[in-house]
Amino acid sequence: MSGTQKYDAVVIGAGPNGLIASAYLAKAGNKVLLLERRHETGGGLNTDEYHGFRLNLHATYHMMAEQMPAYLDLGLPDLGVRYLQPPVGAAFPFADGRSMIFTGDPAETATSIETFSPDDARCYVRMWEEFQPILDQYLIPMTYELPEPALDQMVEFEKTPVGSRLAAISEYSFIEMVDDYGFKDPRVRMALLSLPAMWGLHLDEPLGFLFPLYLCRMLNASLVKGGSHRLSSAIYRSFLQDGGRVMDMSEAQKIVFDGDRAVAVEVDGGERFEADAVISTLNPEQTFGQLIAEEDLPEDVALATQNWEWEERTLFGLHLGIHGKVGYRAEDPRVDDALVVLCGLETEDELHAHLARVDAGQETECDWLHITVPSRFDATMAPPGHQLIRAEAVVHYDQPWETEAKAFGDSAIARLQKFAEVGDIVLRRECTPRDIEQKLTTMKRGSFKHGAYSTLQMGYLRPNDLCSHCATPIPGLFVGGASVYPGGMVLGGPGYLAARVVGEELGRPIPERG
Amino acid sequence: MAKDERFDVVIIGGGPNGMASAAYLAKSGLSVCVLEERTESGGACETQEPIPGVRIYPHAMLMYASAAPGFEQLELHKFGFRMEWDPVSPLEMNQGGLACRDGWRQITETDQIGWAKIGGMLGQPPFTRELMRAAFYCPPHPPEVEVTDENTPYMQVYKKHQPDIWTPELRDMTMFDLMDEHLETEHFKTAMAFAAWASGAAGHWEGVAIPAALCVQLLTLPSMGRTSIPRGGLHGYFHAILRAAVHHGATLRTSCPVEEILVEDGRAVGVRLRDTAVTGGRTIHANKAVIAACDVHQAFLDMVGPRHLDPAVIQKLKDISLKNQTLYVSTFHTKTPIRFNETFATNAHHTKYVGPHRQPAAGVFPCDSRELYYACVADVDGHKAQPRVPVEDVMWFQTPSQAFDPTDCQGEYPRGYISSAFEMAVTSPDYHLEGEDALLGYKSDMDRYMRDAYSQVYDGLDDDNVIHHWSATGREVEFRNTGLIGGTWCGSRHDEDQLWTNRPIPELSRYRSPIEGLYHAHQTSGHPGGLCLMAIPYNLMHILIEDGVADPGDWWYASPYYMPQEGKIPANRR
Ligand SMILES: Cc1cc2nc3c(=O)[nH]c(=O)nc-3n(C[C@H](O)[C@H](O)[C@H](O)COP(=O)(O)OP(=O)(O)OC[C@H]3O[C@@H](n4cnc5c(N)ncnc54)[C@H](O)[C@@H]3O)c2cc1C
Ligand SMILES: Cc1cc2nc3c(=O)[nH]c(=O)nc-3n(C[C@H](O)[C@H](O)[C@H](O)COP(=O)(O)OP(=O)(O)OC[C@H]3O[C@@H](n4cnc5c(N)ncnc54)[C@H](O)[C@@H]3O)c2cc1C
Repeated sequence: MSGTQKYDAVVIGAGPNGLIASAYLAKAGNKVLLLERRHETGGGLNTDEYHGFRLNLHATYHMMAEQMPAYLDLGLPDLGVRYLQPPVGAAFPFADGRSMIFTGDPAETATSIETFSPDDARCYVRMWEEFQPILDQYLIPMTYELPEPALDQMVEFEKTPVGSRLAAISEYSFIEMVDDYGFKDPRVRMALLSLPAMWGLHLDEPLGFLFPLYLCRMLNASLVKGGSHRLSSAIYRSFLQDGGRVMDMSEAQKIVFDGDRAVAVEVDGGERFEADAVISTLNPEQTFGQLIAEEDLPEDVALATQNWEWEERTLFGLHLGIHGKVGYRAEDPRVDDALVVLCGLETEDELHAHLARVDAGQETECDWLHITVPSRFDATMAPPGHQLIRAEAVVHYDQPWETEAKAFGDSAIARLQKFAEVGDIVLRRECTPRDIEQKLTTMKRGSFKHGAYSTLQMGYLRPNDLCSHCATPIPGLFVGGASVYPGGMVLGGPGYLAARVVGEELGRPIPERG
Repeated sequence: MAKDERFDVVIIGGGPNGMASAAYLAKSGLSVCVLEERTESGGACETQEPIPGVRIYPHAMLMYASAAPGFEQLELHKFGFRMEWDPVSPLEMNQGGLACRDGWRQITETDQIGWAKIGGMLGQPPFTRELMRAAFYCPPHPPEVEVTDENTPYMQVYKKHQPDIWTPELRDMTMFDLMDEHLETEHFKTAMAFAAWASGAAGHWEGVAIPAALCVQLLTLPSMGRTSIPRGGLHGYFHAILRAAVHHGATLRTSCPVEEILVEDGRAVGVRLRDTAVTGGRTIHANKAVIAACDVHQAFLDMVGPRHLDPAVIQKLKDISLKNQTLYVSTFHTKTPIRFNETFATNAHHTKYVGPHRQPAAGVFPCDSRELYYACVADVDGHKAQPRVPVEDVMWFQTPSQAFDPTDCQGEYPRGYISSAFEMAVTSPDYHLEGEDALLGYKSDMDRYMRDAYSQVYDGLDDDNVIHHWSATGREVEFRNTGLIGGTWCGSRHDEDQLWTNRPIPELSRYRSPIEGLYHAHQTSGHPGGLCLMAIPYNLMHILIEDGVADPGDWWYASPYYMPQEGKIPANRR
């Protein structure tokens, strides 16, 4: 293929968001080309197989799963996507053998909290009485609606009592939130704050609305049977069925302009693909800094791009193939049934101290791990007689990972073995922050959300107030990756919203949500 | 999804043959469902990223299919398929000599001319493509036709274009016989025989001289005699086929193992999935055909079963020999680049370095004489256990993928150097005297043996310099791809008894089976056998047209050597 080819839309990047945007637009009858730099599509939805072990090297827990509009709109169940939801969302085993269990059912969770603090158990129930309507009426639907400027949003919230409460807690930090609901026990507070902290969020950042969201997402998270890549394969096939074109091993290198309008994408090797709409799912530095020549970039966008902030916290992943069994030492057998087991920290103070060490780049030994054993819930993830462990630690990017990875991995294994009996390790793979960015260039500094979650980079301000509605000040150019509202993780939000906006623009809108 | 579904055609197995069959049939307007046991389709056409930024091909790597009509007929270029070729032709590489224990030995003009003649490169214009198509891209003749020198496709091509290759004995020869007649140096013949063995048909088997020689020739682009690898490896090639299939409306279901082929009144009417399938153990009906694109033993002995088959046929099916070698593929990650050792560096011709990063490429080693070849074959086929041939004598080959794929990251990796792919033939696990798991237990011994063997030519494979040695035993390959029974990468033997009208047994030779509506399209079952050639699907199309199952559009053309079966719809009617 040479010369120029014309499409309705060219989408850059085949991660979950690029795939979803493409598949929706193709379904609506648009002629769409999806460009991917790597040899396979999926981005953060990756499953690598080694000797029968299926490693989800990036995304594992799917937080919106069946609530994501794409699930039904793209017919993903028919294309083989099955979500498995373990009975327990998160478990916190402690050194003394006791443990705290969080499930999707607040009453059940309260029973577990009660053994640590009856008062806190009551706080927990009360908190959920408020959170549930907030989630149902506002936060979950808002994930798939374009954001509004904060002030308009507040006005909107104030119209109902539930909304007013949301407006009030939105200003809180996570710490203020657990204060406000009256939690006292240091272990309960540690557990509650861990759920956002494990994703690198800052506990003193006033992003209160994220607290119910993260709790809800983590306590209802699911695994994709057969590995996360199956979700991407299904979206890929949906796209192909509707006439979509995919080119892998094709790195977008330039967005081509005609006057002030983006009109084409050029890939390595020089091929050019013209389009009425170009959708980038890359991070803002890539989209506006690398793909667009300086003279083509409007000043306000240039400035916003310069201000884009990365995160200091990222993840260290340890993947272990085990011959034999994995069993937690905790007294409560339900710990084994948990999707995520968080171990190593006992109290809130220890959590803060840990995060301070991480931020200072002083975490040279692994203190805190969140562990999943996917093969426990899905036997296809490991060969018969074997188990697969995925353990993640929150770490700083600026550590000498090239030389430290092995030692850090050793300390993670030691930490794991304190809490669980683990059979023989027959396969071991570390995935450092450097590895993340080397594989997925979108995730600079290991930032799996394509940029920090801070008040200035969330909601209507993600990635900035010029672009958070997917359209940009550049005619013909749209954005729709994790750096765009509602943000990172496998939520399917940015890709869906981009498809909605671009579908309107092209005159072939995507179907209404039914 | 309805509880029971219905398609025109149900295909069991989403390997390269199943998927290309699906693409052909979907493009013909049929509703097609491909059922794949594994979580992803594609089997051995895999690209791995064992460390981020480094891509390796742990199994299938080399493109043998460039003569396939499928590229045009399925328009793979429209589905993201791109292929670049090595600026160095294999013939030029041979000009730098072949690696023997005492260093590079030159080949002669006679070698070159003889080999080029066999490969159709000396015709005016070259008839390489025609030759490859005749040998691989034509269904075996119908049973009522006696196979003769006159109607054997490759014989016809030689007769027309290169009469001095054609002799009445050609069909009975071994590849060595053929080479003794047309080539000169022992090392060249040894190297080519080894390459043929490693590609599926051995240099010393009687009656397969031309298929064996052409197995090696397949590695060259028919129009220019150059080696090729698709951008993104065979994974990229497979996905272009997959995209074509899905684009034309084929349904692909992964994690859907088939348990049983449903037979009613002697006719295949659908399949039943295992209960472990992601959709549950449902039934999928086939209006027109069921195609088994998984291994022949499983398809007929387990999925159909003795109730529907004649005991004599069952015995013959059981007797189909899978006895063959498998490939043990190694890729190295080293601190400093690997280099030719003293013996090979001193007189290394410039063509021994390939690709943008000038990687050293040894080709086949050691090529000294056919005795070495025989020793290796005897060890693998006869001894059936850990290799006994001394490391100085064991034969292997190495082809840096960087030579073919400009997007390949080798050499550029910031944390060391990547060298691929080193391949050695070993006993397939099913035939290992100590059982099929034995290879796994010996893995570190095997890795060591491999490194010692490769160190006969290269410096830099010592423990101090090697950061990673990625390798996959046949057993591990099998894990990856259940169709590759016994880890035998090319399925079953490509010897005379199992080729052309005898593949896999005469009763099944034209992709039909004793059960009406049941066809097969797997490397173990159909001509021409192993490799990702898009040959079986193309050949099968002729048969499906004959049976009135498929009626493709104007894009279809049949093999010029195809002979229609009496009483059937001819596939070359257009
Ligand atoms: C270690 C780790 C663990 C995680 N765990 C979870 C989890 O458990 N749950 C969860 O929900 N999320 C998790 N995430 C986050 C999640 O994977 C990401 O937020 C998500 O993948 C973002 O999707 P995206 O489509 O916006 O971008 P990406 O997934 O980053 O995809 C972008 C794509 O663009 C491609 N690309 C880059 N440059 C170019 C170019 N120039 N031209 C063409 N293509 C290009 C990339 O190769 C990539 O395929 C995790 C991430 C990491 C790294
Ligand atoms: C190490 C190695 C190196 C190789 N190198 C090359 C090379 O360089 N070039 C080349 O062209 N070829 C190469 N090959 C060979 C090539 O991979 C095979 O010839 C090719 O994969 C055969 O394709 P197939 O479709 O016939 O069978 P397979 O690839 O075996 O596909 C059969 C499919 O059926 C599925 N299946 C099995 N049972 C069931 C069931 N019950 N229900 C549903 N599905 C089922 C399997 O999972 C599989 O996906 C290599 C192979 C190996 C192992």
